[in-house]
Amino acid sequence: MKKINEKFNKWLNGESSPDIGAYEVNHKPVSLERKERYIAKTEEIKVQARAEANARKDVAFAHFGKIYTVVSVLACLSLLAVLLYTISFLPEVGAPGNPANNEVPERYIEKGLEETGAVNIVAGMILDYRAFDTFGESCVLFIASGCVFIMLKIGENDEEKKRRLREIERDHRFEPRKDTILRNITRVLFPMIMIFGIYVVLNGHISPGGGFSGGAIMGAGLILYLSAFGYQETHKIINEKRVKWITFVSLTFYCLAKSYSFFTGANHLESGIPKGTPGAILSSGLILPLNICVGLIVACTMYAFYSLFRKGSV
Amino acid sequence: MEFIKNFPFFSIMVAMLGAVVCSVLKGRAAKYVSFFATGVIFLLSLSTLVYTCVTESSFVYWMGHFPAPWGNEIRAGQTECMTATAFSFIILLIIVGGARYTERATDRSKQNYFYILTGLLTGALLALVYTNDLFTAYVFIEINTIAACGFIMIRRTGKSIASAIQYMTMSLLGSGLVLIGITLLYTITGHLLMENIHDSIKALGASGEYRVPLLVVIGLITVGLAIKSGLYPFHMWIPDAYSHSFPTSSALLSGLASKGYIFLLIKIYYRVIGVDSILGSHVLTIVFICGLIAMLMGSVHALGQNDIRRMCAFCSVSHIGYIFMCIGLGTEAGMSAALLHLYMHAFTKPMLFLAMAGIASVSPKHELSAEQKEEAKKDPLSLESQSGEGVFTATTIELDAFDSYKYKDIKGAGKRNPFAAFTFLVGSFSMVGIPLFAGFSSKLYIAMAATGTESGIKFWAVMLTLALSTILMVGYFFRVVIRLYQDSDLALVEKRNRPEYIFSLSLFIAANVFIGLFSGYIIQILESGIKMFG
Repeated sequence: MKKINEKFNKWLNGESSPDIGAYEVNHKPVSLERKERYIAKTEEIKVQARAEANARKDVAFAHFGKIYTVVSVLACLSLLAVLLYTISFLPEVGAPGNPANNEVPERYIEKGLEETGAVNIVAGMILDYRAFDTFGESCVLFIASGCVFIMLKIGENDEEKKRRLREIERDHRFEPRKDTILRNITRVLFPMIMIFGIYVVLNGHISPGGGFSGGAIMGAGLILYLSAFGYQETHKIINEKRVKWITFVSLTFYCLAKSYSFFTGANHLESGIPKGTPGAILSSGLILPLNICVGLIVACTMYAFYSLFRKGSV
Repeated sequence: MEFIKNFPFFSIMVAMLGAVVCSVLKGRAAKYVSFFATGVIFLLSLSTLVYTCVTESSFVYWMGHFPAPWGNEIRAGQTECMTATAFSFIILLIIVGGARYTERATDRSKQNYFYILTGLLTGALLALVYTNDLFTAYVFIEINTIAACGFIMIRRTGKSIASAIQYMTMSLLGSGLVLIGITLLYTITGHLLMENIHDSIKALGASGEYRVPLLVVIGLITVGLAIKSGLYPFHMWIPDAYSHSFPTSSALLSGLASKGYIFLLIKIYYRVIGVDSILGSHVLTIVFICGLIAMLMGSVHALGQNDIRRMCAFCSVSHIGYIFMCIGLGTEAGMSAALLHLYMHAFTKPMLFLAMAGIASVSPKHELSAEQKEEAKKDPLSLESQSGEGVFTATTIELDAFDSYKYKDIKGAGKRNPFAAFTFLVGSFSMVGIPLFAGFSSKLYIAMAATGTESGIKFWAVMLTLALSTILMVGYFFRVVIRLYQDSDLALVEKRNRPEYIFSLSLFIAANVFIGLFSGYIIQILESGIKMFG
């Protein structure tokens, strides 16, 4: 009783707070010296170039910065003017007689359900009617993540950075180690976020959503988990090897499944993939497995991007 | 339907699948997968080419279960198959011949990424060539752009990253303009499929509706694709991008990455907008003038370069000018001359870049002293001013020594590496236009196309610029060739080239001579293919 009273008094006087000792803030150790040196060096180069140009009496070069700004602003404004002028000639938005309201969207809307089996017309359009474009889009995602890997992943020849990497992996650098509030909330939120993400992916052909949005939700969940528990815990769920193989298997399946579908379609063969009852989970042919593939790729890519920016490795 | 009609679709999918498989392999295995996939693509494209030439037909192929305005579609005719065959053959030779430079310039754990980029570039180029749908074209333009960016920055030196950013900025501006153009076109025609847009535009031309938006669309798409392929006023990214990436990347960038856009532009002119609307809009006149200026300015800039890679990059500017000038003529003969020149440049430039790598490998190395290495590790910027060649901010690869591409250092390299110097000689003969090599026949067809135009001004402008630009080209190429065969005071140790390097460059030489000798057949196929475009 006395203890409770003491605590109450402390709380009343503002001497204690439930969050003391419950969260921690880590200040990122930025090497300011290096940054300053970089800025100073760039400044130095600029001043030197300008001085040299002055000595050469090269007026154009000495004032290059100003001229460049003026010319680029003028170029942008003129492009803007041209585009605005063009828009004034275009048909009104949403008018029924517009050229875009022709037989193409008509068939998507009227026969979409029957032909693709997907209640969500958008899913039917991007993953069945125009699946080749969407295949290209997922390749854009794949190559973009490849370029980020090239740029940020720490290579084998980089001893200094590798040492830093090991430090981060032991969670000594950025990760909070006993942030109770974040951890407890994550314990509650993480399963919900993941289940919601899986729901959005699996219902992509029935309701709005699909692989891209569901995958983004799952990726956000993984990032939250990493922020709360650090790398040692997160590596039990997902690590570089898994990211690599999940992406590989999903993309290969996507590529082969779509190739099969294109091949049978172009040769006027029966694909033999059942469409199922519209509205059921197991329906609309290949759309569901493709959505799952896209969801996995997006989730892994989002997590990998975050991790690459954070420590230079997945 | 004959089974062979599946081949264009197979070749796109094989390229993409090869790239995906490379993502889980180590560098060496990825190289073999990439080599095998490109070889298969080459054979598939070649057999489609033979098929379309024998039957003298073109065909469309449904990508899925739905016919064209609803589903996606690709189209293969003689022109498309010829371009696809040439592109896949060039990629194959570059992968083989540049393998050693890839190994040396990229980090060991990242070598497979180079082959992922190569696979996706191949797939994107094939899709750009075969596509019959404008939005599909846009998607694959994106892949092509990102792959090219990756090729520049995979070396991870300070300057290569800077030039990748420069390239990306310019290229994204181009993609943006193309996308706005496609959106406007969709708004006024309601279609994305090339044939349907063509029909709508014909109807619009007859009724006189939407004339301003149509003109803006033609302008935006032309400018966008011209920026991406580096036509003269937008060429600033070319020299940095080609000279700061390593030889294999430069070869792929110069030979292929920018060529896909030009082919797409020709296809859009013929199959989407229609020659009559294009000629009526005077956009072609501007393209023609820009091409003429590029032919001269590229060569003039090249004369002043002391780095042979930069010289070749400016030579590319000039040759892109040739191609656009031919497109600007607006005749069918002009288009086929443009395509022949495109092939010639695509076969010769990679050869020159690989040959220059061989020459540079026997030039005196710029060794860094122990102090400089220490300093470079602490402060990467300090090297920037000292070396002027490679700056090693991101990694320490190649920190020990690097090859010199400086004009003053290549003296006598022709005796130390005779094979590479000979290849350079053949390449420069072809670029300048000595008979027997590809460059001669393409320049001949350009001149013949110029005689076919109706306006006398255009004819004289083409002839004079062609002559002047060729003379300038002789100036800068033969300056290097003479320098290569001078005596130098360096010890004469003949370098042994790797067998795959010799194999690849010999095939490049053979292909050059082949185009030079049999250009008549190629032009015939191209002309009948372009007739079927319309």
